[in-house]
Amino acid sequence: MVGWFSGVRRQRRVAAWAAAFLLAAGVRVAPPAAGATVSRPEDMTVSGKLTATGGVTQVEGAAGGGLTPWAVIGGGGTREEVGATAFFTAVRTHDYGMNAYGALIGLWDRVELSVAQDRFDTQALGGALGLGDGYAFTNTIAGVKVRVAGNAVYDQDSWMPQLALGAQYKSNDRSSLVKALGARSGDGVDLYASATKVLLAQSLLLSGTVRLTKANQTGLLGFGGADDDYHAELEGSAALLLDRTLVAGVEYRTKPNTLARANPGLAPEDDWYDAFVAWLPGKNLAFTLAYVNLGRVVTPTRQNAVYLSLQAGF
Amino acid sequence: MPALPRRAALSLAIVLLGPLAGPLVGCASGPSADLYQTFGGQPGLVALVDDFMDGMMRDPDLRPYFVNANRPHIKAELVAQFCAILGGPCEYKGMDMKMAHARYGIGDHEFNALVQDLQDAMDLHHIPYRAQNRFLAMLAPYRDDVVHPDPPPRVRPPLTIAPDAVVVPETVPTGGPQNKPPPR
Ligand code: HEM
Repeated sequence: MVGWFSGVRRQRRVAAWAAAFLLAAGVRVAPPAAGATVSRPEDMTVSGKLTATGGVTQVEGAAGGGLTPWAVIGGGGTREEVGATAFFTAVRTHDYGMNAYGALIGLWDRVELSVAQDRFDTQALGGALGLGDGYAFTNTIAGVKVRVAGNAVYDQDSWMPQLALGAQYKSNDRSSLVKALGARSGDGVDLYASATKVLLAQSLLLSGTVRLTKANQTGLLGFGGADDDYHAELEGSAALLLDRTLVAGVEYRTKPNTLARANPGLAPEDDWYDAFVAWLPGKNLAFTLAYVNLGRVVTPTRQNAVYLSLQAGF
Repeated sequence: MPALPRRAALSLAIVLLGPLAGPLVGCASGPSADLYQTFGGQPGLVALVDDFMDGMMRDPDLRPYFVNANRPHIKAELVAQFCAILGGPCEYKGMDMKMAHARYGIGDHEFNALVQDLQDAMDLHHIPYRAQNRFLAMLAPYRDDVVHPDPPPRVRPPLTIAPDAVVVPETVPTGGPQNKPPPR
């Protein structure tokens, strides 16, 4: 980001110096004939992507829906452009609160680099579990995603979706606690492949992801447990494009159940699903409201959550 | 619900939904006379393309491409092309899309800007969003012909003809030759 901005600035500065030099030397530079140069603009452009086609940001920081990554590259830039977005997401269940925030940059509609932090607050339940009121787990996630083929929006004459491969490195700040609970590690790497297709004639978006993961509750409870193997999990989104700024859909994300098999004191881990409405009033702004079912998290209570997310691009 | 059946159901849904979604709602895609009527037939398309071109001329991303072009001609070709795409009784006889656009070094930024100006024009003409998308779905494949395979981010390819060599009036002067049948 910083490098890119200063690059632009440097170019302008050089141009200014060159102009000053030429003027001083008494050289008159003829301006190009008006209209004789029709092509891409001289200056770097940004945010050329069609509104809503970059998705919003999922809880682990990748561009996608709310829970699952999509194969799209975030940041709002086209293949000639570089762009960035930041997000803040608040999830509230009866017992827990989670805040997620982070930022990503999209490079030339090809590569996406992201960082995010998920802070899971046990609130009063932490006290009841003997951890202390408001005990929190923080998961820091660094992600990379590469578009390998296709274009979700343009390829309307074929079934070929946009395909991307991604990885998310996650590190939990409560390593010793999650290990005491039975996890094998406090950090891990998820690998995923996503396929996303906009069926424009049907105003429909479909996306599926296969994720290889060892993470318990996305890594908030560490990695591994009864085994230390990668589990293949499926995630999917289906969304309707209601108008140019409104998208509504559902998502489902399967999860492994590794930690509870190692520690019978914990409730089994459930799949997550949600129903969302995203409003994208401008190219660089998105609000998402969702109902999320997190299933059982540590205790046998099913956690119904309200999910609110704000994403801004620049 | 036990985890396994649910998971199996999901994988089934993901595997099936893709291929099925098309045929299931397939009746809503492709050209059809009703779509042409939704766009108001020939008069509707002429009015739409007028506003579309006006919008592009106000769009700093696109104005440079059209300011010295033969806009009345492009508009006529666009009407014929849109009409044919929408299933109307027309045939597009203009230039091949690749031929018409190759030399401009058009990028996705400009292509998307054009799509958005078209959406604005369609909104102005109260064309329902889903009908807009059915139309855009048929336009989208042109993207590969319109944009430059490897758009030079800054380089401007030279034009073969100086585009300001001919100044084309926006409208045909009134009182000019008219296509009236000769009086009997
Ligand atoms: C789906 C997208 C597009 C379609 C269907 C389309 C269609 C057309 C048509 C039918 C013509 C007239 C061809 C003829 O004279 O026979 C034309 C010409 C032209 N188009 Fe496009 N166009 C598209 C995108 C664009 C974009 C993104 C730009 C610029 C950023 C652009 C710039 C031009 C220019 C400058 C001409 C005049 C060509 C010339 O006479 O040299 N078009 N287009």
